Amino acid sequence: MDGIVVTGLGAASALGTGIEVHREALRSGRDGLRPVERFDTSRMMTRLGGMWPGWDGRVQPEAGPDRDLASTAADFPLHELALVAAREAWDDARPRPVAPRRSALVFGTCFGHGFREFHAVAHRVAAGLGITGPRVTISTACASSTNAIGLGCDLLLRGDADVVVAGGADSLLREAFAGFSALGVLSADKCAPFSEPAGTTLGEGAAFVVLERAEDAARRGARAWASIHGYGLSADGFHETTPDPTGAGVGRAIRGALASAGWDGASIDFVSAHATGTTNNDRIEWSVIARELGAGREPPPVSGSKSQLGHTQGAAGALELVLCLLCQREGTIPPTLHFQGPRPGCPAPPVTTSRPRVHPVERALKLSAAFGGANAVLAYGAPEVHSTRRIAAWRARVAVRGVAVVDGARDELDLGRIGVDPRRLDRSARWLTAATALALGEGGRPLRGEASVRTGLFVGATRMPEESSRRCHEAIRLHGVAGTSAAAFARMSVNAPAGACSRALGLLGPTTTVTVGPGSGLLAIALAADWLATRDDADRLVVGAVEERRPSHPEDADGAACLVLDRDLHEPGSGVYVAGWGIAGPEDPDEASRRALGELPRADSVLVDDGQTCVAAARAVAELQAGTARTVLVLSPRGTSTVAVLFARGAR
Amino acid sequence: MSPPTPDLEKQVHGLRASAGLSRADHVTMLHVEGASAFDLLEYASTRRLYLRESQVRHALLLDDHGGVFADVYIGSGDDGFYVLAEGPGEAALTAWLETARDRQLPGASARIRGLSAERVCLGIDGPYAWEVVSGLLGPAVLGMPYLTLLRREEVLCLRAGKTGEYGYSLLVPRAEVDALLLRLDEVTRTLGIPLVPVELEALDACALENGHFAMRTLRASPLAHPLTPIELQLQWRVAYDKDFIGAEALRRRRAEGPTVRATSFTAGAPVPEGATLHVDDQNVGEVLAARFSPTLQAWVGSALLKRRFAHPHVPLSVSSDAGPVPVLTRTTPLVDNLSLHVDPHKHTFATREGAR
Amino acid sequence: MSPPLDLDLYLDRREHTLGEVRRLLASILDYRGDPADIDPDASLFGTGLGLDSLDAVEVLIGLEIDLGVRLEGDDAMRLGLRSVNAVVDVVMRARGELP
Repeated sequence: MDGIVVTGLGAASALGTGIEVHREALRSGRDGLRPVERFDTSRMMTRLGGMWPGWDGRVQPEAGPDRDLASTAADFPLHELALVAAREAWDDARPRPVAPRRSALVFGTCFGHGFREFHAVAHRVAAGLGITGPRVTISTACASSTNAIGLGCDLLLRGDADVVVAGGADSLLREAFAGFSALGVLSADKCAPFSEPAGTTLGEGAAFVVLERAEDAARRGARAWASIHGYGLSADGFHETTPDPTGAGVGRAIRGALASAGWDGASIDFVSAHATGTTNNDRIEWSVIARELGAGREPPPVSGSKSQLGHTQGAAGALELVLCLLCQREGTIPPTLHFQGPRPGCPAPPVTTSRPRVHPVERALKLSAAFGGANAVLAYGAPEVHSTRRIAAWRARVAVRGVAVVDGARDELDLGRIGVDPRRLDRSARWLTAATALALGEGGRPLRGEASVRTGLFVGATRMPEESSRRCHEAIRLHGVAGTSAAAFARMSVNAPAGACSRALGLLGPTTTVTVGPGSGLLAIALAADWLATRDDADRLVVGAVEERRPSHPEDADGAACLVLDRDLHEPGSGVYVAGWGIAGPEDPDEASRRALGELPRADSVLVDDGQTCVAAARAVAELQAGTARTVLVLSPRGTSTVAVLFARGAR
Repeated sequence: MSPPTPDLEKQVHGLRASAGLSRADHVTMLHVEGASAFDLLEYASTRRLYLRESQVRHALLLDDHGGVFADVYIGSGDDGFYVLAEGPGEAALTAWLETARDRQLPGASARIRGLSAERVCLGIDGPYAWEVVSGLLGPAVLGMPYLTLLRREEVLCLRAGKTGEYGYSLLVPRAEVDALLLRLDEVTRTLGIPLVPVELEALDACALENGHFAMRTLRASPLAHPLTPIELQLQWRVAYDKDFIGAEALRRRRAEGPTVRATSFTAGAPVPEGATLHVDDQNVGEVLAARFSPTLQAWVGSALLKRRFAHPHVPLSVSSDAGPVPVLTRTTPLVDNLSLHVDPHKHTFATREGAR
Repeated sequence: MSPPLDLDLYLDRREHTLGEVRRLLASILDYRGDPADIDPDASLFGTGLGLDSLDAVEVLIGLEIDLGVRLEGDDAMRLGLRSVNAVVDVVMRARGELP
């Protein structure tokens, strides 16, 4: 079985710019946390942040949806951060020239460029590196880049690319700082994972890894930093910001990662924890690690790298992984700074010291647990560890079981009547939940038991939910940062609707929120179909897309659409199924179509997704059910990746 | 009203300082399962249940006249739904639900089964009840949010409570009760936590101190008949835009304009239940329930007052055999519960000095 | 010694403030019903209205911005927000209207 290796690293953070700087910072046990200079933090819980020195001395404008100024790269550090880290990773790997369109970028970000342009950053970075194939953005808050690296591996395994640059970036924004302050999670002191005082320190940064198939890297004599063996995703379905106190969600993601790698929990040598430093996160995360990986032995050592970097949001997974890999090559594990004895319920001996601890690593996990309850766990290890990755090869096809479209302009569906508590659901969350409930066809009742943990939710979205985003910015505009609405802030992240939907309906299986701009929903369908075809930790995936129309943007969609996919195990040959899918670079419909069609020369009918999220897919299904075509190809050519999904009808 | 027994004081103090153990024979336990189980309970309940797995809702069951028939917890377990009710006994509640099912959902598949033959309900309440119960059932108890269910082996544990302190109801198989009580004994001895046996009277005293509704305080009153959730300040458990048994009558009472509201009060001397309350010479209401509060060392009660006066900090007087007794209406809850200051992730009974 | 209570004045102010607090809570709760149905003795957190930590922030902000009352200190917050009537007490006390 082909393994994946990391052949290049790049990083920029509060510690500085470049791998060498980070290596030195690790050796000296230095942190990059200092008083924020870029904006006023006097009314916030703390003045401390992890700022990138590369932006020192520059100001940044107010962020938010009302800004009519054309948002240029120079406004916020995000583009620079991402580019400098991505370039370094690329130069470090020095990959042999790949065929055109055979390189790809998977990018994770929580807040994008000033809360906007989530998919556009990926475009710019790709252009900066000369990457011509697919570019995908994942936005699941603090789990984004962990998920991105995992997806990057999937693209290589599927043969969608030969080199993938994967990672993430986020920059410190005043409103985000205010939001976290309003939530009461910021520490007055430097972030001290598992120790006192409790609370986190926000940071910014970017990190990328270059991924190649192991045999390709070996053939060209590249020196690998690490091998990547799999990843797991799950949803807590508990609360907007508080993790599930039982830790069941993180547990599922850990088990998913172990299963996809073909590993046993007992073989894990080390865990790079999410370890934000908050009482809830650290305690729950530690109890899950002990439970999942400590059966019959001492749990493995754990590091909390946010103590050095701060909480870098979308960049966290990738940046913390980079620190781990720098240490791994030297036979050590990263330090956890500011540790002065464990908080109740937290580990003492396993937490590493203030300098890297000598500890060889063969197999390790990177954990991320995000707002909205999205969890991502990456299984990685030493470069020479052979892949035992299990890719399920289901004989069954991926069937389309249900379809629903909710039009935001019409009367809103009364969620109360179908048994879903509408409280605290903004428009995006309501529409997505309504469409999901309708598509599942179970009267809106939350799923239970096995069905609940084995049904997941993949969502395509382009922007932050409009209503909550406006409400949050409006509150700050009117009342200053002291008036930040914690609730609106929690609901405005791109993955918040998915989190709310998973909570309302008990969809606790794998979850992700992806964007390529127009066509994000179609990408989500493709990724979901791939997940069902190659893994066995979910039986069913709801795929949704949701969008709220912005004022003065009549071209925006306004509503949500969902499909339910499962394996066509029990009713082979009937109904509609997903026959193929393809992801290619931007404006490359021929390549995407070719990959989706597989052996077929062409489809009976081609529908172009004009950006009306998943609606085209719903139309394709309707066409097939009506019998006017046997195969329909749905194409989305306007996003940062071209996506094509082939739907077909089984013989009756 | 009878003077407080010294024993009652000890029970309430013990519960509020560490934990109290009660045998909740006053609680009716039912199991409801079947394809229409949820629909039946949703129809009967005054509020929408929105039950995710392991979630519990505190609701009411009303009679056709809008009067309170049962004070219920409805919980979603892995094998159906659990109903813990105060008010009707097992036969009465089962019959009531069956009638509702046959009337409203004919042909529905919903099986209702009383659990008293199989299980005993025990209650553990107090600021360190969580420590006792997690010592008994494991650390998963510490992660239980309020109003959720947990099954540990054969014990079903529900986190709720009506005393204002941490509270857990344990549904234990009859055959295992003795063994469990022995284990409980061991656990509390190891943890050094005094577990005080408490009776229903003590639980009701705690409920009154915290302003929690208890079925046993319901009495017929000429001021409003029947007493509905409106008078009893239980509208938070009612969804007016939903259909339920008694909904019509309740909406009518609401439209007519309710005239009285139950309000908490304290007094320095015994106050007779049923006595009228006055402001100057004006008759403003009637005492619904009253008893001595060991925690406040005063008399505490609930009075049905004309809505104009049904607010805290209103001085009233009530006539008793010993003459007029001054009474003051109060803001609930009347007690600063120790549980508010105890964090299960930081404090233990053994290290409790740091808690407050 | 405090002046004798002008009961009528107090009851009028109480109803008025109760209305303000009900409207604030109704907006935080996304309450679809009539704010007048919010029971004055209803608990805010856990039982009763079922607010949680996210809502608590909204309540504090709303109290400050809409009703001009700022709650400081852990205890003040914990005890001040236990029931609707407790919140009304906090507002009336700040305005000097509590007997």
